[in-house]
Amino acid sequence: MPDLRTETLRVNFGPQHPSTHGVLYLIVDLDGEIIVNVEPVIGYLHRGMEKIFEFRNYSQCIAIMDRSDYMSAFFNEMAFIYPVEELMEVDVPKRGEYLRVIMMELNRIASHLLFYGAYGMDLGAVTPFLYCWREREKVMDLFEIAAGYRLHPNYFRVGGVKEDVTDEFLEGTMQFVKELPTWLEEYETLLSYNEIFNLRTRNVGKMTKEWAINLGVTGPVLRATGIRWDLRKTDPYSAYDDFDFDIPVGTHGDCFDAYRIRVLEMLQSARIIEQALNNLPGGPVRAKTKLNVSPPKGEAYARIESPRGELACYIVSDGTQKPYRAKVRAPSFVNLMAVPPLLKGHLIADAIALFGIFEPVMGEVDR
Amino acid sequence: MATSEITLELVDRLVEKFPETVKNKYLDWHTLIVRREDIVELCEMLKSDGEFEFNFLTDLSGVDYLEYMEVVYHLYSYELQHKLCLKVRVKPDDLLVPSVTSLWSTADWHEREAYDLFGIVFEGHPNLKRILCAEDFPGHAFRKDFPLENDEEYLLRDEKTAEDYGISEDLPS
Repeated sequence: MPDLRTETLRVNFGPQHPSTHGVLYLIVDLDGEIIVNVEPVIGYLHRGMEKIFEFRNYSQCIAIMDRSDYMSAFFNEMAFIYPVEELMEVDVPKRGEYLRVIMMELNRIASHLLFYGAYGMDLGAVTPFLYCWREREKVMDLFEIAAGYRLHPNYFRVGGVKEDVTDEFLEGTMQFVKELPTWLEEYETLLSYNEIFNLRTRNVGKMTKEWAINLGVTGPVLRATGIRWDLRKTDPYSAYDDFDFDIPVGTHGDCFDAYRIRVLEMLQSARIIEQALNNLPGGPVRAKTKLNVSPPKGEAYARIESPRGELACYIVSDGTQKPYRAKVRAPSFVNLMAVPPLLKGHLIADAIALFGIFEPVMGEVDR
Repeated sequence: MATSEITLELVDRLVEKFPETVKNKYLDWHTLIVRREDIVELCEMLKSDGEFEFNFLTDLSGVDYLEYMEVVYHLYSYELQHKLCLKVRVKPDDLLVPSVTSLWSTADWHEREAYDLFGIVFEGHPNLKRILCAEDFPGHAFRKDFPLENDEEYLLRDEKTAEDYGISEDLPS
């Protein structure tokens, strides 16, 4: 039999590809169907956000920060405001903190719903996407009632939130979180108990704790490996100390665990919102701070738990109204780093299932 | 269990071992300004020593202070739940900093970003090339003296790249 000539084949994956969730470009080297090397090429959405911050005052920065991870804008605002408040030692009124928690958890549900739908669609199930979009739309409507905007709310301020919410918002939110568990049950019949989905995600991508920590992976994927790590519990910020909730963790570190954790997290978010609504304190929603704040000279680094992982902001203040340097530690950027070592050795058919669980938002990766 | 600061005794132990280190504190982050010659040795100790166990490099950022450039490391330990900040200062005409990728793989892209945006060259990095900006981008965009509008004189001036430090910047074939 004559020798078979084999050679690796280089395939361009993206940057315009529906399952890359934006403009991610992967250069994939294939040996038959096996991936031998992956090189992500990023930067297509680089807007120099951190440089723009240096020429805007703090309240303008909040509006720009919204555009970083456009699927969870409230978290971006919080991540930027948190270190500024630490620097200024602002005491945020309880009602303001509770409203922030409600907004962030609603946003987490919206973001996870997007993941749920998009991940299903990546693996060939189109129906869940339509259902998830229906519910996500309800959250967007709630945001519109409270902030006036849907995707980029620009609602948080240094010292609290922009304005108090209406009864319409509170009633709508209560109804939403009451209904959510029933919907999730409905969705789970579409994916969690779906034979094909199970075959494609279970035991795909065995991730270990050490591997994840060394690569800086955070968020649901880290928890899928079995580490009970959620900054809302381990390093509480805002008013998270007041609420009772659990952190779902996985046992296998595979795609299915990372997926399932998000479903369970939505239920926990609903729990938090319900508690916050029931115990919503009265009083002002914002501390008496100037609109154009000038934090004292110094630096602060503060981290929060975004739907994608650890979102942090490092702010260096020189005492003026503009930050001297603001660096965003974007979870998508760091998680994406884990994609090449994770994909190596897998079949090309598993590639989408594997990097889909990181749910990278390119706006955040490139900033 | 809530996150705590690293205890002062541990910080003092580090300063004792590396006497050139300057101790500082910003809010709840103990900060050490480390000589660049010491950074890898210090990090090795921080990672392997049972009293520190810093197994997670959260963030690595570059900051341009005009007189010097700073590389800021934010470290964290999942086991002992404490945190520490390290800083390395380098002069703008000699921007060579040893890489910590051998200790934490997550430093890879962070260091590439700092190289891309600030021109800080990390010695020993396996694949030091631009990450966010295009390969032929002139200059380093996040430096304080980088012009906001087109300034041909600035863009055409000679600037040190990784190659000037003897590190090859391989372009993808």
